[in-house]
Amino acid sequence: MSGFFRPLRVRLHALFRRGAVDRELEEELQHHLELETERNLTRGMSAEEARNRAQRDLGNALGHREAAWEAYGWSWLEQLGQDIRYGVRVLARNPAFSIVTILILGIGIGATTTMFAAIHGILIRPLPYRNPDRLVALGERNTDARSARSGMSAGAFAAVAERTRTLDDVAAYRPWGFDLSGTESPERVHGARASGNLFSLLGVRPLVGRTLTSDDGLPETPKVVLLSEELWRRRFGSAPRIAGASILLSGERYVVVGVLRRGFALPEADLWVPLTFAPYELDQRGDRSLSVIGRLKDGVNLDAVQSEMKTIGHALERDYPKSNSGWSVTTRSLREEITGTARMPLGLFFAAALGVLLVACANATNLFLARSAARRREMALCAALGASSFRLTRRLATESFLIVAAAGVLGLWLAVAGSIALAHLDLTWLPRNAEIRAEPAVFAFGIAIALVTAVGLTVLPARDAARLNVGATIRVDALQSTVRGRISTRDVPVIAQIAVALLLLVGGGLLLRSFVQAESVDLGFSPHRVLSISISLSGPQYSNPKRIAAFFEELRTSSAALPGVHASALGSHPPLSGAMLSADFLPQDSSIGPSGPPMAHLVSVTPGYFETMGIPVRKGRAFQERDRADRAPVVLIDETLARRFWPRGDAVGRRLRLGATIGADSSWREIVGVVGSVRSIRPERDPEPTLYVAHAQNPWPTMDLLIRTTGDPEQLRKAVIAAVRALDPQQPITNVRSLDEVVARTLAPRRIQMLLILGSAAVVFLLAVVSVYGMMAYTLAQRTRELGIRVALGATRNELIRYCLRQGLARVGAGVLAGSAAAVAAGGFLRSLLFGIAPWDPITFASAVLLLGSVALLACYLPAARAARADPLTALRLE
Amino acid sequence: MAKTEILQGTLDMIVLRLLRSEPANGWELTRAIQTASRGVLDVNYGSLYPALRRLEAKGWLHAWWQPSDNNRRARYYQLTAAGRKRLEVERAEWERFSTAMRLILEVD
Repeated sequence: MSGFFRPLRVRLHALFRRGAVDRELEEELQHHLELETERNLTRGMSAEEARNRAQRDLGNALGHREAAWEAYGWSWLEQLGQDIRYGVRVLARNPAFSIVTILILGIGIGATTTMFAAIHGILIRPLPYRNPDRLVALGERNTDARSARSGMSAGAFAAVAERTRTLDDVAAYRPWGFDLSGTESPERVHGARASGNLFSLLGVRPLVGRTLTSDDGLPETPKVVLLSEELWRRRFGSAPRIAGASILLSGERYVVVGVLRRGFALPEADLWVPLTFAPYELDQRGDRSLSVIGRLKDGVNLDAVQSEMKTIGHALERDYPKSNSGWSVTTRSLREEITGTARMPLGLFFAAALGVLLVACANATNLFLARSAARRREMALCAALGASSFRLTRRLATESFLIVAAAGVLGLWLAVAGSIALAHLDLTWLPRNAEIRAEPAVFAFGIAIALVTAVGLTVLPARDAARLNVGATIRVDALQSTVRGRISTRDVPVIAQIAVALLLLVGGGLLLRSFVQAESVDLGFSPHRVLSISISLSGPQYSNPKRIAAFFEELRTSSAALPGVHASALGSHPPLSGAMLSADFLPQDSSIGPSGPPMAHLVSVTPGYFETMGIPVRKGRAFQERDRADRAPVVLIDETLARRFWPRGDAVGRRLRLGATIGADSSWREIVGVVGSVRSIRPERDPEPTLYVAHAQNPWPTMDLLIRTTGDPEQLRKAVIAAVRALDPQQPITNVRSLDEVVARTLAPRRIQMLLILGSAAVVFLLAVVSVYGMMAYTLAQRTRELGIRVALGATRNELIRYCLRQGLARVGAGVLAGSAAAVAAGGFLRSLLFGIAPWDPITFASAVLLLGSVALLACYLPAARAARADPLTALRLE
Repeated sequence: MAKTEILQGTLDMIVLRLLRSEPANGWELTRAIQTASRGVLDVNYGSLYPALRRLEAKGWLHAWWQPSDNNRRARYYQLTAAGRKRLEVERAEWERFSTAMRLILEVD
């Protein structure tokens, strides 16, 4: 055996077989004793004398046993065991204290660790593609408008792919809905058209078969499709020989080439088909709906790509001023593109969770401090009996570590549950949330947080123990050691708690007011009691637009006849549905400006749409039955668009021409009416200029049936689905929901943010108030004698209460000041999450200060009143 | 002749030195110390056994049970290679220490 392991083995043997070691020593000593006795006998002693002499020479056997045991170097462990047993006994004696502290800390640790799991899974962990740091996302941006980045047009994508010298490869995709029909009930699936090289560019491998390649989708080749693992398992029973099978998508046959592993999310889809461009499509530069991804060449950095894209953008502007004037090509890292929006809310949540943990720590520290003060005499006694101050500190530390260990277990358990919940919730506003996992790094973080917490909990009580004045404490609970009027380090926990509570109250208040503002904003339509159903027509029988128009016309008639229906209509892109279509247009008597033709949202609607949606007609008329395909084409505009182009209010009767986006329709249309504007993208966003065309004149294959009901819209659900099925059982129905639900969905991120921050604020507020109360009660209890003397000297009860309150309020005031300063500093950080309210909103600030201040005042008053009621004589006799 | 208590810290060295030539049990070691020092050094038997444990835990000794000369079971100790090295170190240190002591004490 090597020289290193032998001692270890000996020591471990001693540790785990202490009985055997003791027995061995016993036997060894016995052996010595016997031989020594024999020797003494040979020296002529009597048997008894020989034996006694040998015993005496050997000395205290028990002492030798202790000394021998210490030789193995395990005494520290033994003492630790003693401390732990002692700590467990102390904690078990105060179960309420222990449980409350463990719960508070556990929640703090759990919340912080969960948020770390989210940050780690979303922001820190690399994207699940090959060399993800080398991936960039490209887009186009209108340099004139304040509009956000948009996708790329096919023409711009082709130009970039052809001209780039800094990117190895460029691929594009766009989401595309498909109707999956065949054996079972038809289903609308989220699909995507993706250029074949997307998969090799990202470096993803298929689960079954192969991915798409650049050769797919070429003319004369069969139509192919790549399935997602999820769809493959759900729809095809994980059939291992799926590759080569043929499926029916939107009425056309496709051959399955493979299955893609779960976790691919560019875009998140059920299936992918090749994206190819007809020559005329490559000349389209106005429809910017492609998502484009590139991979940097080796040795090229993002700046180089950005400057190259600028050059390409300028060239496009020069060559195609009509469509590209004022547009540039922008680049940013793919990580930024995907997770950029998550940074702000995640940072906020993490800060809130940290606040909860901080306050939980402060609270626990307070409890420990109060308790260690109560145990002063006990500690002093131990010190007097010879315990070193190190040993006393260690004992305190052991207690806080025990508490934190339990809290840590609870917290990690909460974090695991929280991570699973976050990963499985359908959170559209939180990208990559499915990738959140309770992984080793998360556990390491949780344990580290727990350790820091444990050390933090020990510092103040240990300092107290180290300053212990043994003699004075044992003699009397010396008055001078406990009286405190001025703010000291012992007050830091309470002040910090109040500050954090105020900070979170202000933050939560701002988010609450923003939410209320967003919820009560005038949407421009009335979502109450409206049921919405998406129907998508596909297949050869609907290749003729007239058939599409006829189908939806019939559906409108049959649904209007259902009992309980007040009004019904169809629209291609209703507000807040997530779907939108942009079209360029040109009013009569104006020419295309330097930044291209104006753009507006385009919605194709049936008669009755504005009545059903509750959108007012401001001027002229809405669509009517007479606006048929064979009549002169008409258009409606909304107020936003009317104000921009006909500010004098004379829009009705004017004419405009639609661009190429909706068919090759460029005939002049008469504006027959002006309708109210609606907030179509988000409730918080101002209405976009919108054009409405008559569905009979411009049919669209995917429509939402909207039904305004007289009662609860949910009750009509079945009847409406049956009405659609009666017309054509093969066509898939999706998104059956009330418009109230649709509105609530768009506000869901805001609601969650608000609830999380308000929840943290509530927890912290509660803890802070409890702390204030505890601090007051404790301080006053320590000063019973002083108060008694004051009363004896003639202080009135009110004077006494005022005197006590002053002590408490000084600390509350310090906390409120610090918290206000922090809230002002954090205001700018919050700004992007607020709506309709300034980050320094005085009403919110005042309410938060008032709420916290008044409750804290009450928490100070109650113990003060009780202390002041005390009989001075009792108080004086108490000591 | 007056007996001398063993100096603190030197017991380890003495035990290592005595075990250099052959293994021995505890009782033999106490006898050997007295014999080798011609009765001048008096070992506190009690401190010998913990010392043996300490040396064993440090890996300098190896211990096992075997019958002793008088057919009783006794715990025998033997120097390990590490123990041998340690003895050299202790011995060198002791030489330096005693030389220094002599120099100091012989100064006029």
